[in-house]
Amino acid sequence: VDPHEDFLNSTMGAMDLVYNIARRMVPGVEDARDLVQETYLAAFAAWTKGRKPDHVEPWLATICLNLGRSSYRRRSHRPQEVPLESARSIPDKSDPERAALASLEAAALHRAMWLIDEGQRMAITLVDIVGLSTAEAAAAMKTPRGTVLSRLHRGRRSLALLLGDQVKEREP
Amino acid sequence: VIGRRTHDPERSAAAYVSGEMRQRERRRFEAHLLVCEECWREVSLGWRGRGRAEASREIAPAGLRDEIRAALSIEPHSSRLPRRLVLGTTAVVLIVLSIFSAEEIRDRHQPPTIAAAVAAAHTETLASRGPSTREPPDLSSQGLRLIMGERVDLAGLTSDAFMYRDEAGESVLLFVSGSPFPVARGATPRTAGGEGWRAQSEGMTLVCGDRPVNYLVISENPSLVGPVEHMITTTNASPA
Repeated sequence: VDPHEDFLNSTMGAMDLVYNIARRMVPGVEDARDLVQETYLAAFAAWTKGRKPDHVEPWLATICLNLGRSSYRRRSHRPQEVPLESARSIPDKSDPERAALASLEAAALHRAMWLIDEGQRMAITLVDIVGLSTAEAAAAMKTPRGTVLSRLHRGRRSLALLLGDQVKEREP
Repeated sequence: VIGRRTHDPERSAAAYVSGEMRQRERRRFEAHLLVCEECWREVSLGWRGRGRAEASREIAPAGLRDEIRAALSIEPHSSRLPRRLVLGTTAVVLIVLSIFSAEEIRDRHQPPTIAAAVAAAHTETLASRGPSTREPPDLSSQGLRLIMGERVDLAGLTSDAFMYRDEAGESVLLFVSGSPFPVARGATPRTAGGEGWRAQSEGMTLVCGDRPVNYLVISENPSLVGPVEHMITTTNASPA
């Protein structure tokens, strides 16, 4: 079996997962694309050395997190800078109203995601966005599951409050 | 009933909202929710936050899959090959030869405003000063979708910045300012329709002009620069 094809067939289905993690580790789209590529290259290097995982998704998530922390964190955390796509988006005039609203909402969501604590953002990314269990997220983040649960909840709560969600009153 | 020792609204809400409670535990917690305002509030916010997070899920850009295939085939044993270097060996050589001429390699220190604009185009990152004050040109007819419009500071020069992206995901940045942009080093002057210049810097194509407003267009893809410049010179981009 061609190792390239074997690897690609096993891992390409998880590209959206890796991309979503990368987008929440580095602010720029191009940096995120670089991080995705580095993740796949590192994963392939491990794959050819016989380190094939039982579950590809948490394995790739862990590699992406580690690479993101080690090689991108410092240069991506530029104070007082915001990724352009998280700034106010202006809807395309040719789009219908719904697309314009969706664009504005997506920009607000992305900006809110970058306003919350990094640990909370990672917990939310791994569990709510890419669908890992809290145990898998804990392994990837090298953090106890209880800590992941706390970060997860605090991040969700912050997101809701940042985006103006109100707690629904309990009916009497 | 959730006892005092195990009453942790944050963790309980996180596990409940994540669907990670066993059936018996979930039933007990749901009964507890009816009488505990604090847990009710946390669960309510947790559901809303989770919904918001799920709505922010993205799809990987078209072309990224092919880039990874190319990277793996070119450097099968490398684990640290920057994506932008893996556009094909020939293409990279051509780009290096055509863009980074000997002259430019000697003269890479651009005026701070130009350097800031080029860096912004490379990183797609800028310090925002608020919403743009001008109406952005509509380039949808050119296949360019407006991504954002911001008021920015380019090393002391205040400008409106508009970013567009084509269907292939390539971006082009348009800066419009009330003050003239400095001339980039190595620029070629142009006089048609006003004073202006064209330059290459760090792999970016830059086009600058002063009519009807001071503008600077930057993209890694030279073919994206022309339509934006044409639009800015044929429409009134005065402050809204």
